[in-house]
Amino acid sequence: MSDARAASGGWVWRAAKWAWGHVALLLIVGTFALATLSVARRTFVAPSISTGTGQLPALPPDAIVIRIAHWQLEAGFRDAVDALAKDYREKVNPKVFVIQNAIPEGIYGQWCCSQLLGGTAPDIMAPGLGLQWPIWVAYMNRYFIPLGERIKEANPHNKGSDLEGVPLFKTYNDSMRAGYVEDLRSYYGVPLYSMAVRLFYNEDLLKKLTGADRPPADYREFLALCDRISAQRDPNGLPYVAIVGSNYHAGMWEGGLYNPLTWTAIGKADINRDGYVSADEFFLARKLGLINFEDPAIHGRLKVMTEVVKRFQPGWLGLGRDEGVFLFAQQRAVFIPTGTWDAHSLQEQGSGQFKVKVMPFPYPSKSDPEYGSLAVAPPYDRPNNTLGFAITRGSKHPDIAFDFLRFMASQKGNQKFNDIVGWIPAVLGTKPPEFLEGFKPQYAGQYGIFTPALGGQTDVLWNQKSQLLQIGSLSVEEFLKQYGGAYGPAGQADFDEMQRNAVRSRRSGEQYLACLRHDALAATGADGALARYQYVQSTASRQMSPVIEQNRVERLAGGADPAPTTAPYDYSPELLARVRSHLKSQP
Amino acid sequence: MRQFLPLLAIVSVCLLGCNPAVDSIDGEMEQAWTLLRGGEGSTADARFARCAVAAKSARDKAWALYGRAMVRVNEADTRMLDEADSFLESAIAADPKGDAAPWAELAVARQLSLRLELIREKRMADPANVAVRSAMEALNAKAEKAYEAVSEKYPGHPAGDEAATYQMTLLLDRVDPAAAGRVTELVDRFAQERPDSPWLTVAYGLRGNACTLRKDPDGLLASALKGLEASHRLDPSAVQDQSWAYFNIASIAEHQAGDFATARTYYTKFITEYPQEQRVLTARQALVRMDACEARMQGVPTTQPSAKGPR
Repeated sequence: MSDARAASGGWVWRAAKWAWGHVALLLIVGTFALATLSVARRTFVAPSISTGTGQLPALPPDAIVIRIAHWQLEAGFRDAVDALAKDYREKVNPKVFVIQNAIPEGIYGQWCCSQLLGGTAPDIMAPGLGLQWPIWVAYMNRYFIPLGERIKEANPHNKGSDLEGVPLFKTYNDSMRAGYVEDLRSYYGVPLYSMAVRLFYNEDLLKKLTGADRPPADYREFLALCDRISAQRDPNGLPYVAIVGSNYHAGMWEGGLYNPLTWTAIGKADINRDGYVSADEFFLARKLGLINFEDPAIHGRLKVMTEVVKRFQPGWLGLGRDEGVFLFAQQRAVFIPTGTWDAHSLQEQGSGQFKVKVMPFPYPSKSDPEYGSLAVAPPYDRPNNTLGFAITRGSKHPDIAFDFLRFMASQKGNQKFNDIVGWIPAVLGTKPPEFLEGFKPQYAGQYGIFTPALGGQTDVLWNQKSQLLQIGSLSVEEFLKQYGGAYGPAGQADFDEMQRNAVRSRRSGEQYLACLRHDALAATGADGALARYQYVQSTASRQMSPVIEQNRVERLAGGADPAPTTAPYDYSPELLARVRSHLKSQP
Repeated sequence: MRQFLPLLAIVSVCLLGCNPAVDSIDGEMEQAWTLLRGGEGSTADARFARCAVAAKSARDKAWALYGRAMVRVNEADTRMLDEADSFLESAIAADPKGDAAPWAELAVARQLSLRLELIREKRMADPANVAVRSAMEALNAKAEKAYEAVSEKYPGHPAGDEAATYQMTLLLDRVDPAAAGRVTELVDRFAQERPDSPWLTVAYGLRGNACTLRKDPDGLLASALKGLEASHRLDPSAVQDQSWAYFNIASIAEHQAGDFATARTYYTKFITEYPQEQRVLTARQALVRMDACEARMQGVPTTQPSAKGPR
């Protein structure tokens, strides 16, 4: 027995000794074995599936699984994708099963990174959130499939509709521009919906507290209603809140109400007369004495902001999105500004308790005693389609993935999708859900000309001072004194930095253009001609026009060129002489 | 130590595997460009380098060396620009009559422009520095000559056209009416010799800038109109977006040429063809403004704008 033990112990001892002598080899072999097992499992065994809702469907053995990732956790979105997936399976391809990966916004960027880099990305993803745009561009270039000629083919799922036979890109209300990635000069996204921001309100609560059975017609009426709301208390003795405020919701008023009021000053600040006023252009106009912060348009914009934030709940600046929505859901606040992405969720919050309606931001009427002269037209409001969904290079079924996206982008499919989710469709011949009638676009409207921040210094300055203005620590006049005093030097520093950045950007643009040139030279036929034309335009807009424009701006800012003696939109005596001459020469 | 010998052997095999032979130059080169496009410069450079070594034809070698130069053009470090210069010279020497040569020669001229941008940045920090200003002027002249040489060496070639427009840009960069006069001459000649070049629309834009420098608003408007005509003719896009051009022409006509008839035509086209554009209200306001101005000149009461354009 003892001999046997000795023999056994000797065997173990020899094995251990051999293992110690080959420890490195064993480690490497073990690692390779694990890696091989992992790859084989991913390649040959059906992937484990987790859906956004946690439901695990029982899939037939010949199922074609299309995975789609997005960050839309709002009510209705996943239902809409599921419904369209079911329709697709029933009407187009019974083998296709669509599985959703609904990822929370906070980790979406990191999640996409790890999936794309690890080679485990879903077939379809929604690019654009959680990472800086240049990173998304690099990822799209490497990990996503450009749609290329596919957008020129008719969408087969439009058969029988008035879009039958129409190329896919022409079936969109924006000619599919939203799906185009400028930096890569190619279409990557299949857009499915538009987004816009408006004012939502609790119709029942508004009527109960004010007796009003329709939304306020203008800004003045809106303020009066807000004051009547704030003067009342709920059964617990707490005052009602007129408008939900939070650090998420407060900024929504900028484009809807505050900034469009500055449009009337466009003729003083649009130095290059292109119809827009950029942040550096405004700085220059102020430096040249063409406009100042005391201008009625700027003053009015600031005053309106103070009047609106006064109607928010106390302490709003420290609150986030969820706290704001909670206040609305509890029926303690009447108005909440937000985007279409929240429309369905708000409706669900109110379901069975109160009715949610939507209205444009209240705007001063032309007869408004204080702001009437600033309100020539309503604010410009055009819902924008989003980039939508793109197909990853790792997809085993890219054609089916594209066809499913096309199915959701067909006239009927897009209508159904957006009816379920409660959003604005992107395809021609569709209409928004009845609930969103208030989201009708407003063209020929006013838009902002005042961008407070040129760069880091002016951004910090604006944030500090405007917060003091909003919480009432500063009056508009005090704000203008403090902000206006510091804006000059801070703006000059940011302006100089912008000019330096423009030079750096030309240098860094050279390599981008080299790649574009390579693609243009490689492309053939009609695509080649288009690519070469686009290369020319890109080169000119990046490397040629900016040189000349920068010279012009620098000379104006540095005093080398004389400052204009008339405002940009005013006619000088010389110009009037030219006009007369032209008039005389006309028959 | 003996037990680590297998590890050493495997690591050696792995290292050898990291530098595999190039199977297809075209495929490898394409991958290098894809990597460069994705911002992975060093990996792209390694692939271009492998292609340059493995290239069996002078053409492939020239393009691979050109690729290595393009990896370096973004750098602010002048040593990298020197390296790029060296690769470009090698590319030209490898295949002086090949299809890479015109682009490599254009890139050599571009290198001068990139160096000019580096000096421009210095000038911004110290605008009064005479030495920096002189260096800029000297480099501008040198680069302009280099572009001119490329455009003359490759007439009718896209690289020649591009060099010609860069030459015009540098002339305008001098902010000198005489140089601007030369630009108008160059553009007019370019329009005659290369009427179908996609660079023609850009050239007309530059001609407009030259007219601005020469205080010639009628010339500016004429250039903008010719640029639009060229764009209509040459832009192969499925959907041509002329909204920017329409507004620009209308604005020049209204505010610089004083030609209200042309301004009215193009503001109206802008409003009619692009009704969803953000600047529609601004264009409408311009129509009202011009109506009021004309009415004042003609002594007509201005309570109602005349009906010369859409509202």
